Amino acid sequence: MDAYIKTENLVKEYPKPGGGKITAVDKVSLEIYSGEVFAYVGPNGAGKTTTIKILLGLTRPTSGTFEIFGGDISDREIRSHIGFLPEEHNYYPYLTVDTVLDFYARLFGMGKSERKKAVNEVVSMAGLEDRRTTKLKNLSKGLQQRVGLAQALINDPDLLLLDEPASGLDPLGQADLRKLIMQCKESGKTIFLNTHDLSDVERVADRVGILDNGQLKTVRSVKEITSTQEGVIVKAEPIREESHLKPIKEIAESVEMSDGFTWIELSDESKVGAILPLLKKADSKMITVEQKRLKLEDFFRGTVTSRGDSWVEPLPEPRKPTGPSNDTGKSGGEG
Amino acid sequence: MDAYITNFIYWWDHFLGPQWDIVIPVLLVLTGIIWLFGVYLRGKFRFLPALAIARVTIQDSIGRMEVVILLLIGVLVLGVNGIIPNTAQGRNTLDQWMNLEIFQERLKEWGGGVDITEYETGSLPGTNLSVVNGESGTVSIVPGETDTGSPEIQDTLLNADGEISPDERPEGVTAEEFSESEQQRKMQSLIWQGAFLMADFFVALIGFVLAMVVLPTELNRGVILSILPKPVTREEYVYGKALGIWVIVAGCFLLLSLELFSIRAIFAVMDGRNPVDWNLVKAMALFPFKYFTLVLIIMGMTLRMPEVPAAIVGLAIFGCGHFHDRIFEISQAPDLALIFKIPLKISYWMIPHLSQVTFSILDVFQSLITSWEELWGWVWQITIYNILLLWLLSYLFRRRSL
Repeated sequence: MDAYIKTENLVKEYPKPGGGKITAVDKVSLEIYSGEVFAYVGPNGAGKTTTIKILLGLTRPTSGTFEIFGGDISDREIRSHIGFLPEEHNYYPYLTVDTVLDFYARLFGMGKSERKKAVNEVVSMAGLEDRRTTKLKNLSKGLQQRVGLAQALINDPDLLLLDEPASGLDPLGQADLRKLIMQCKESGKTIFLNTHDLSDVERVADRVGILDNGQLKTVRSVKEITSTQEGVIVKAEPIREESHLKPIKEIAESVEMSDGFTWIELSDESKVGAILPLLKKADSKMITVEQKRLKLEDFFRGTVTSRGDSWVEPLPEPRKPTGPSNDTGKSGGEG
Repeated sequence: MDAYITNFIYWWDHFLGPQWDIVIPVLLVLTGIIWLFGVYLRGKFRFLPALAIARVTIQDSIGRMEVVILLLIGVLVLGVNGIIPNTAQGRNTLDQWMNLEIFQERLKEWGGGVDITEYETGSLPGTNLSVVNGESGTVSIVPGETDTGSPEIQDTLLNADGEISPDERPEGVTAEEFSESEQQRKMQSLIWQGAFLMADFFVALIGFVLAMVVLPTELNRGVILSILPKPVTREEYVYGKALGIWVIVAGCFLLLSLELFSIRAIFAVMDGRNPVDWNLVKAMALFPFKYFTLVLIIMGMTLRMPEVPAAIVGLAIFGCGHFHDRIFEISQAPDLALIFKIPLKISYWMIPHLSQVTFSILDVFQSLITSWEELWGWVWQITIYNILLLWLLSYLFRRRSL
């Protein structure tokens, strides 16, 4: 597979107001391959947006190198194959959807008929058919985000960089976004997804890179992280008395009380039969039995050490922390 | 070496003759344009993306309505400014000014080049006047410097090519001493001076506001982040923005000028005069060039500091034009040390003396810009300034981290 994006020891430092420097991106080495959906996750202030800005030539790296499609981002030809949705989706509020999209199409040097066709296509993809003549200031935040997506797709890009695409979208909008990303993936586009939403990552991404304090901690396959593990987890009605819990603990790997339920981790599905009479004795009922899986969120929490800009509360201990396994990503940074 | 240069100049002058004053500026302007777009911006600038950005800037600015509202106010004020002075009440109000203006003009005729730049009615006889240039036929008198009563100056005045010295000026000249048509002509002139200055004020205000906010708005709101990742260079973006603002400003000026010309034409036809004053047209042609400079200076400043300080500093630089001639005079002083002379010379060339254009509009009615050559003399200087400012703007914007 071709690496569409390749960075080597990318560093970006900003001067600190009181003197000194802040390292926003710290020796990030990364490869994104054609046709994949790569999720770039990390707490606020981890350096995700700065990385994207460097990749797009909006800001210069302090050191390190990077290539897009094997070339320099300043090359017009290379940029004509890229689509970008910025996090702050402010466009021209006094212009209509059609006018704004026509403007973005003009920037690619498209002729009149080509522009018309491109605008029609992206308007349809973004579900903006009935809003074409509406001024952007009259659109909701979610609809403006759709306009942002439409402008990012106006040139039918091979590489799509999405910076927090789900921000401002309601659940239905988020579902539409996921659908759109999957459509893009199916059509062979490579997607660099910068997001906080780990559930989206689980659903659409092939690989995930976790950035913390500017350092790329790990790059892993999402399937690999969330793959099924041996054992099951039984969710049961709460058992309060220690005398009832004791025999269960003897069979189970672990027993925990959380969210108003009793969670029983068993090393083998066959042990469920042995648990059932004990639950009955404790006047409890089994609610579900699930295959043991590691959630991306747990993996993320186990990987990230900082709390980010906006995390006020300390991180709670994960219910089933297993920690990250060895880094097996195609390329990785530090950590 | 001197002989070689003299010969070269003679040769150049001999073969090119009167074109001498045209050819060099044309070459300078062409060299500037070729250097900017052909060398400095080679491969970094294409007109189509810049035009697309200019277009959306115009659409967005008009959509915001601020421009439209300011323009409407301008149209209304200018309409009033153009019509009311032509009424009986307006005439009475202007009588005082008219007397002054007619008197000054007549004095100029008597003195064969006497230029009284400032005085108060009634204070002229016996006031201190100085002879700035005593050469035959080009006597200029400026008040407040020397006594015209000195024998030397009296002699200069009396010997000035058959002209009359100010001492022979009749006392108590008033407008009534002049013909009706002369009064009418002078009053029309005054009206249009005021009207065009008012038009200039409104248009400069629109340009000032738009140039002040155009880049900070897009930078702060992140609009630029969706534009620059496209196949658009920073130069195309920033020049497109400047062009868009300039088109709005020039368009506003054109609109207000058309309004003024229409009113003027109506009154001129009613009075049986020529409806079109070509000197006025020539002077007005300069204004769009000046606005481009204003836009470039303020946009450049907003890349280095917040909007309001940027606008103030930009206006200050633009306003330095008022002192442009003074700077030149000082730089010419023979005793001035090189350490002062060189920066002054550089300032002379670098400070946009374009704001002078605004004030020269007053002189337009006194035939400052009477020929196309005169107009060209202004245009090429302004163009060179604008080329330098375009370079500076792209340089500052290229260094800006987003």
